[in-house]
Amino acid sequence: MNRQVWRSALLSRWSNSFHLLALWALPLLFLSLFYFYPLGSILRLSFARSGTGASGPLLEAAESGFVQEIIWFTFWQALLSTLLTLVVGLPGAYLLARYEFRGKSLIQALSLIPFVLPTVVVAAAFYALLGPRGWMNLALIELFDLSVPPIRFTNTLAAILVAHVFYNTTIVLRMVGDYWSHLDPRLTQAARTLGANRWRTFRQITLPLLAPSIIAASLLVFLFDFTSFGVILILGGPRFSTLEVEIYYQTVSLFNLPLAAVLSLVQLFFTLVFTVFYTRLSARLTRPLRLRPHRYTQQRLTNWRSRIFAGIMITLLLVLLTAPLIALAARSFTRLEPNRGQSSPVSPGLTLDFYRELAVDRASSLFYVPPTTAIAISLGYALATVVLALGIGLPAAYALSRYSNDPLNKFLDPVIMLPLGTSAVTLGLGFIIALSRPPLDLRTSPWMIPIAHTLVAFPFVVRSLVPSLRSIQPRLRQAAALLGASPAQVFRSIDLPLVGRAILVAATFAFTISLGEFGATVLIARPEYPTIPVVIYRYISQPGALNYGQALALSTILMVVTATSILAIERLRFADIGEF
Amino acid sequence: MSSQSILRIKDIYKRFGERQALDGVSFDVQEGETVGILGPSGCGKSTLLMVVAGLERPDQGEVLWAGKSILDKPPHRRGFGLMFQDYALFPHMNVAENIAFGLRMYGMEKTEIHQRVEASLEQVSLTGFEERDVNTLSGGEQQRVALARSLAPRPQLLMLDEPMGSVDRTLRERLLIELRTILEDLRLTTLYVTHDQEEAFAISDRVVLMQAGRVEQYDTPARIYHHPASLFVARFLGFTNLLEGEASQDGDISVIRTNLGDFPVKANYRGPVTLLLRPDAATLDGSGEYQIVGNVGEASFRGGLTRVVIIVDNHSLVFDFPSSIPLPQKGQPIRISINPDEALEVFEK
Repeated sequence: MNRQVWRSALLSRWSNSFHLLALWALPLLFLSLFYFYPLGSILRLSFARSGTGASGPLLEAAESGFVQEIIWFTFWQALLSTLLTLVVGLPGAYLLARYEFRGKSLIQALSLIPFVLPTVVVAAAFYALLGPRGWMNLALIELFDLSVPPIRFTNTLAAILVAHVFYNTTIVLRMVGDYWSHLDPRLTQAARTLGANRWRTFRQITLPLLAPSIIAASLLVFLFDFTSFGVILILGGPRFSTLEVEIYYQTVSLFNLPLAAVLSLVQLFFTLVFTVFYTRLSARLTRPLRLRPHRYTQQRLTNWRSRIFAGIMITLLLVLLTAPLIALAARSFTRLEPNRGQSSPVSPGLTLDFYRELAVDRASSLFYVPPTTAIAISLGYALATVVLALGIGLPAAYALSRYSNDPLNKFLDPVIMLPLGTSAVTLGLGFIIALSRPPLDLRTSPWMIPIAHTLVAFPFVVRSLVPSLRSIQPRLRQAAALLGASPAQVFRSIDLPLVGRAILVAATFAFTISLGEFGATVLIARPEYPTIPVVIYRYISQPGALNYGQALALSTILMVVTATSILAIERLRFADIGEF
Repeated sequence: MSSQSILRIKDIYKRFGERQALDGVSFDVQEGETVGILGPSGCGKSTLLMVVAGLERPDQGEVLWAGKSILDKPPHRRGFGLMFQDYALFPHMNVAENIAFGLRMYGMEKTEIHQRVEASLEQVSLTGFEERDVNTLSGGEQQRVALARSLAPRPQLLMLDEPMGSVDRTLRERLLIELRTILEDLRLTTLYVTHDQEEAFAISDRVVLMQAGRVEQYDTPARIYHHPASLFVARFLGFTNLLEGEASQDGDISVIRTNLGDFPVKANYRGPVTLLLRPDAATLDGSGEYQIVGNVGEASFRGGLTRVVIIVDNHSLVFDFPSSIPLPQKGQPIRISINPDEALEVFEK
């Protein structure tokens, strides 16, 4: 009897572990081959001894003032961007958290869009608004009959900072605003009745209670700014180089792979330090809070003080979030200047020329492809990414949600999030170093780019699947099993229909991320198979009104697709479990 | 009398969107008095506290403290204490820091703060709790900390918003007595908001009974109980023996004609009225002038009294008798007498 119990217990434990391992097999194989192996190669290259010097490239780089300068600039542009983002985001978070007003849901929806907007689109949008051929400059030239564009925005530090604020304000609005909206207003009221004025109440009650969310948001924003690539490459121009941009230059322009590897390593080191710092700090600062539903914490705009504040904030947020995007879309339909080589003055007006040109094969360069081909290539890659990301994301999410207490899961849960903290350019560099020679030569494989995109999308896919998989009550599965369903049948007939929406969300994420991915793609895409962002980048970097117009037209298409996707995701998202 | 009033609330109106939270509220509070603010949830009683505390500004009306308007004073300069429903203890501070908060805001010396915190903790019987994390305290302990925190700066006026809201019933009795003792010792002017009439009656010198943003009645607990000013008050106090009737004047008295007979009252009424028969003003002897005959619908022994439901012509009336009477059987015929002077309240429509 006893022995039988033992045997069956052991057997079921063994079968559970086996089941779990089987689920993890594919995701882990994928990560090992395409994440850890390339990173390992970067590491090896950084420590390898070069033929001439006695020390490896890592030590050489550490001593070079050039590298120190880049690290310094990377650091302080990120810090400055983060502070500016907080300056805009915190009052915005307060507005959304504490007040009820018409148009609030519009602002909340708009604030989501930058989150998935490809960097090339954002860059193009700021070009359309503030660039030399942008609305503002053309309007000023027209008005005051100037000969040169009066606003110098592109290729300045200001452009980098503004684009970063545009991108990341959402994070502050979401993370801090959400937390703030559930904070019990009676805590601040209690402080007021105990003799604290507004400022002291904010400093001694609100700020300490918000600290975990502010620090979490700041560190995330800082990390994004620290590893920002497209914005700095395109809007900053050649004068500014961060670690991420320098890795790209060293790889693509100078073919100095060892130095690129060292820079990647330095960047990985810093992101790791920030992440550890973040985890420790937020654990120490988190307080058990009695969170309140929104309806207890929000009020209408009743007095003039709150109305003025709301008016200013709403205007600021609306301008920040929509002006570049509207400028982009409008500019892509407007002809304001003659094409190159066209001497006769043109009459300004609406035009579809830039869109028509997309299908025309005009350039004669060797690796030139018409934009419509790039669209087809991008769509193909995106679909392949969806398949791959779901293929490895579903088993991983399933394993995480079903055996949440298993020690293996506790170890693997953070591991699968690692690609999120690794910059896209580093991933691309890893692919170039590791996957372009035996034993794993994928240089000519069409799968190289979807695989890279899958790595970027993987954490998002898993994170959007796990909550809804967890929400399926085990009883449903047990009932199905007792009715004779095999594990596979249980998954097909119970889990799959119930998580259908979450799968759709995950697929949309993967699709959108793939469409907009720039950092890794620009490194590894073969010139004759460019994606939409790569083509946009080529057009923006070339002179001529037609190139400029085509960049804007392509960007507008990409903007519409990604904005639609994120709004669809928001609609489909599993009705906010844990939210009030 | 009104010359001694320390707090005067005059014609307060406050609207939140569509809802008129306060609809012309006025009453006076004397120094050292505990006034209960009683009413169903949503009647505006918490909003009234917010207005007095300065956390909400009324649309209209005046709040006077010692004869001076305080509407333009921000909450942190009013010197009033407010103990919130669910206490609103600062989760990032320990017990002592919570209590010291108000003292720090008034710029008190460190040593003095320490002494005051000790004294406050002793007052609420929580000596030794200084370093405790407020998140680990029980409901009763949190309530005491919240009370100590609002008392520590020695407010001129103490406001308590449903202070017993999250405390279980058995503990509530004890805490009420302790609270009453503390308030009496300090001779503190107090506003006590609750939806529970027993609580309000037990702790208050006078009670403001509110409904839909208006004051229905303002009086001592005893007078409210014995002379409810309106049908709403009667219903709110739990009286159920209500009869529809028609009043006609007959000299000094009015006669109320109901389904269950005619009843005389010493006042002038005319037209349709609602008549309340007090449950505790009937006797079982059949000798009185006004009698009601019916059948026992339900009879239950309740310790100090016996409650009998009497069915008369499809009406069910509830009466309480001393528990010394033999328990009537269900269905048995029963005859009771009432004294109209004691048992009847009339509400005009």
